Amino acid sequence: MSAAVTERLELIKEIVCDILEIDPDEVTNTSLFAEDHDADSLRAIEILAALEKRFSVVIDQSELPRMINLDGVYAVVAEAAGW
Amino acid sequence: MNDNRVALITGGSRGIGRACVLRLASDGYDVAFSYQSNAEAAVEVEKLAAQQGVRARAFEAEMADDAMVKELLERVRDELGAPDVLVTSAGITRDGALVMMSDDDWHAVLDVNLDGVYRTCRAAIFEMMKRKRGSIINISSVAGVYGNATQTNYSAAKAGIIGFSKALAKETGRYGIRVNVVAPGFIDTDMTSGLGEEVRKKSLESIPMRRFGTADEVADVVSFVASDRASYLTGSVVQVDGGIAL
Repeated sequence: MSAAVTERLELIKEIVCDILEIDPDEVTNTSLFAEDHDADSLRAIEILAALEKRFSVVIDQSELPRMINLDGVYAVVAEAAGW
Repeated sequence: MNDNRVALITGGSRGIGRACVLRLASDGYDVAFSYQSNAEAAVEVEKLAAQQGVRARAFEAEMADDAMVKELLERVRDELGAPDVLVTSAGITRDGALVMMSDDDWHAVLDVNLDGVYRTCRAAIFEMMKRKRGSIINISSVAGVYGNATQTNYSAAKAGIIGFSKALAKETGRYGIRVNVVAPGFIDTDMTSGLGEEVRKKSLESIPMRRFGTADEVADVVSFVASDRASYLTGSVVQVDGGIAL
């Protein structure tokens, strides 16, 4: 994994954990926000809005179901940003 | 108020929808509205609304068509901005006793009047949730509250709108979005002009105020519910019906 990817992943993780109010140490790339961390599924909207702002991208409504864990969120942002 | 907020009204070329377009334009909203087929009426409403010094746009769209509703929201966003206020007023009737009702008449009314509300709200809610503000007013009917003979399809759709709106109000309240229902009674519009003299007379007997309402009287309530003056109102059904009890 390149340094740029690691850095972006860390930043996304920070944003996600901040919104979901969960401990970053407990989150893995594949752990599920709702099932594993008791997060409210609707919070995905707030994650999406924060990521759009931070990375200056537009994320389509249809991507929400993919944003269930860090890997999913990263993939959605990467596609929107053309990384 | 006038900070150039955007209001979208479905079914805005006639009747209650038309009155809502004009009322919200006079409130200072930039207004977008959909119409199904009457382009001439839509152009007239567009002109009248623009006379209030706001931007007004009419878009042809069928509420029964998923793609058209999605495109409607995209075009409104592109031309005016994402709607802060959504009024779903598009509706049809196909009246008849259930015993003789065709499948087509049942499904057509549900598709436009109930699924149309689902389609429009679903397409609009995403941006509202992202921005954490919005006011949705779904136009139901007293038929949806009390039921109306020969209108099982219409009554079911309009009752469905009430359940839908209450659920959506619960889902989105913490996002600063208010979802309410305005349920008009007998209002003088094209939709009620076809009522026979006998039905009309009987209807008047059930209305304590002894008259039909006007579309403007409904639009005034919609204007209030849409505004920040109604900032603690959500999940409500506001009946504008002259006190009717069907």
